[in-house]
Amino acid sequence: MSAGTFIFRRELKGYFTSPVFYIFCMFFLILTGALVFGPMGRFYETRQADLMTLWRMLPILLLVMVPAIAMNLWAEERRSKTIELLFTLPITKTQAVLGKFFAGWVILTVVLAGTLVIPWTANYLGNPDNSVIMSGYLGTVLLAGAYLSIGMFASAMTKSPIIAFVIALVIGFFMVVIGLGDVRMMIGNMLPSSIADLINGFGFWSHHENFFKGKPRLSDFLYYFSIIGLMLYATNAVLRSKAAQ
Amino acid sequence: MISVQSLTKKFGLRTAVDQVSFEVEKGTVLGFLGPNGAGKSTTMRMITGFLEPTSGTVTVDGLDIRTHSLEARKIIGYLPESAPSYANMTVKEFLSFCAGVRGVPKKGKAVKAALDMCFLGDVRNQTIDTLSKGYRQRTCMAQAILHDPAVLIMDEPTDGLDPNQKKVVRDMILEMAKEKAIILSTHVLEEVDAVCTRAVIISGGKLVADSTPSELKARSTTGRLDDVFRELTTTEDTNLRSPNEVHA
Repeated sequence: MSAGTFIFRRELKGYFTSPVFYIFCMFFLILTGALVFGPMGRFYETRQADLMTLWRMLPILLLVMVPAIAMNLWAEERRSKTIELLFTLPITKTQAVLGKFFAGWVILTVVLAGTLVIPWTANYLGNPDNSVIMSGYLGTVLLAGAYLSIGMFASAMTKSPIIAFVIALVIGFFMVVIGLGDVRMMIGNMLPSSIADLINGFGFWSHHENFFKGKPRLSDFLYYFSIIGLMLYATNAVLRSKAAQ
Repeated sequence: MISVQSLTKKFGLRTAVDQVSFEVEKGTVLGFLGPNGAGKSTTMRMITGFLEPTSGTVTVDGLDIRTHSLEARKIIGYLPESAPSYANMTVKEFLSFCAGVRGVPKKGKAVKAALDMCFLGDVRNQTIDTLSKGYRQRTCMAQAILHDPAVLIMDEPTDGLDPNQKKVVRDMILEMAKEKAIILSTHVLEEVDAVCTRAVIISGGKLVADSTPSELKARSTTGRLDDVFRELTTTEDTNLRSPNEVHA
């Protein structure tokens, strides 16, 4: 087994032995349930067996929740000085970054699986298109991975988890906002529409939409993998530069 | 075993370590002395590959820590300052994790040996954040020796320990000394007498002495290590004036 696998397993176990993580899960699932089934979600009122409300809520919920999980990934290592231990073990920074990232991603996928009660309800009440729902979940897992990579990058920059949280929130918020249709129109009024489309395509929303509408394109997959790859590379670069400082 | 050549580290404009060179052979316990902030920890962080030097080289068993970093780190055991460890793990889990990352063959046996050697058997299933300072120090020590490294670097290994625990740690170091090249930093001078076969003194980032403890003592008129240390490491600006002068 490679050294990165041990990091992965340690991190994974770390989540399950942390009380804060369970509180986080509870909070996330209750909030998701309340938003979808509550008066705001109009889950029953629309009388349609689809999960539109869920897909619209999740990017916003994850925008806040994922940085909360990611903020400690490196900041805590720095604060407790275990980073000195970790990076004097015979392990590359890339292995450590990947180990931590995939553990976090698996955990987020598990947490998201907790929302499966919503499609289950839709199936109980009607006949939703489950292939579309699966596509929506796939997109959401990728989106969560993108948020996680941003959060990890932010966490590598500082030893304060709160600062890491805020940095990740700001970058994530920016990525959501530039993808929104209304914002695309605003930018279109000021700049040529080709540039506006480019900026728009850089945001999360249009890609997320393709997934939850059941029509993901190859470019949507590539988009998420590029964001994740870029942010992990940046994390690595930050960790390296801290060693050279 | 360890060769440090013109090692320099600058943090911005401040030079923390300035052209430090020395060699450590197998069987040597090198005491790395100096006042607080002299650059001891920074030097050790560069030797272990945690910090990149601004200039200069470090080789461990012929392996450059920058170009052959992973191979070099495999044969180094390192006890960082303040002995960090993952607080939410048990002692045994923590050591298994380190052994795993290091790719130690016969992991269970190595962990058991390290637990025994550092007298951690009784607390092996306790989470580290419930342990006292002395146990944490020894847990981190166990991590440093569990792969039986040829080179052992310890940053203030007896810091914060009570006299009994200090004795235990020193005995451990003496026991390992024959087989390994050891560097330990300290500002406790009695420690140098107790375990070191050689001592270097660093002050303001510069190497000011490299000799045996007895030779260093002979340099002083009083024959005490404290006095040599004070003479070598007190410069104009750090020289504390005596109370009389202050009131004059």
